[in-house]
Amino acid sequence: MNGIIEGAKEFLVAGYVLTWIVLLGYSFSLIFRHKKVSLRGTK
Amino acid sequence: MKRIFLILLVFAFFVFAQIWALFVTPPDQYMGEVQRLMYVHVPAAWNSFIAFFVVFISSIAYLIWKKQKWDRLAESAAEVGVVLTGLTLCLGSIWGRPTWGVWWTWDARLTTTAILFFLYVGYLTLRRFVQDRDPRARLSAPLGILIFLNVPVVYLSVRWWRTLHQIQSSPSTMSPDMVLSLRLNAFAFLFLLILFIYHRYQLRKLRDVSEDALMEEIR
Repeated sequence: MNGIIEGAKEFLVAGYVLTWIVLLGYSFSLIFRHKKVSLRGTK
Repeated sequence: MKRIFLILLVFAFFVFAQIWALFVTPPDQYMGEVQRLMYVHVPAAWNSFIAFFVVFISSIAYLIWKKQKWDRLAESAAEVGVVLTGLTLCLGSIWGRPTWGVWWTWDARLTTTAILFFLYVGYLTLRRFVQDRDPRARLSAPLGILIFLNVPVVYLSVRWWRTLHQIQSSPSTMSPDMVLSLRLNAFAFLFLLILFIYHRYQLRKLRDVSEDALMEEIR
């Protein structure tokens, strides 16, 4: 089992990077959608 | 200003919890460093359950009081729940490759979680087919209650069908360092969940106001 897991640090990095991409991506999507609706409302 | 400070505080706590999980908590004896994925995978899963519970409660509340605010809350929580469930599935897959040797297997927990993900994607998609607010809320509320039935199935799947995914750990079977790190990250995800649902709710509210203003202009 340890043989498979050794050198699996890249999977750890991939997991944490993915978490940040998803959470920041969703945060920005909320901001952009909010801006879009605000602009539409003022037209 | 106060709101921006609150957002920054939530993100700062999230960064703190992640640093704690990555650099302070000791690695697992057998799985090594890759076990640290638990501190994002498990909190994401727990908080997706909380989001779907909010959908369930808001759907019931809508059927009782027929207020749009409950439908808004259900829609917002469902979207955030879908994001977290998608993240849970991806992280599980990344963790599964080095530990189980596969990216995906038709294990009971994995399969029921995938079903859960697609049920809520379906819920959000179906909502888009109905333009009018009240009929949409009336149709969505029973669906929001019905599909929540899959959440306890996902939770108990590891006990009902003993397949590859391990059963839930308890604080008594884990190192106190790991329990602390898991709790920190669970709260970090919870604060983020509240923040996301709140802002998604405000977005839907703004959309409703904008639509109403447009309708007034047309009239």
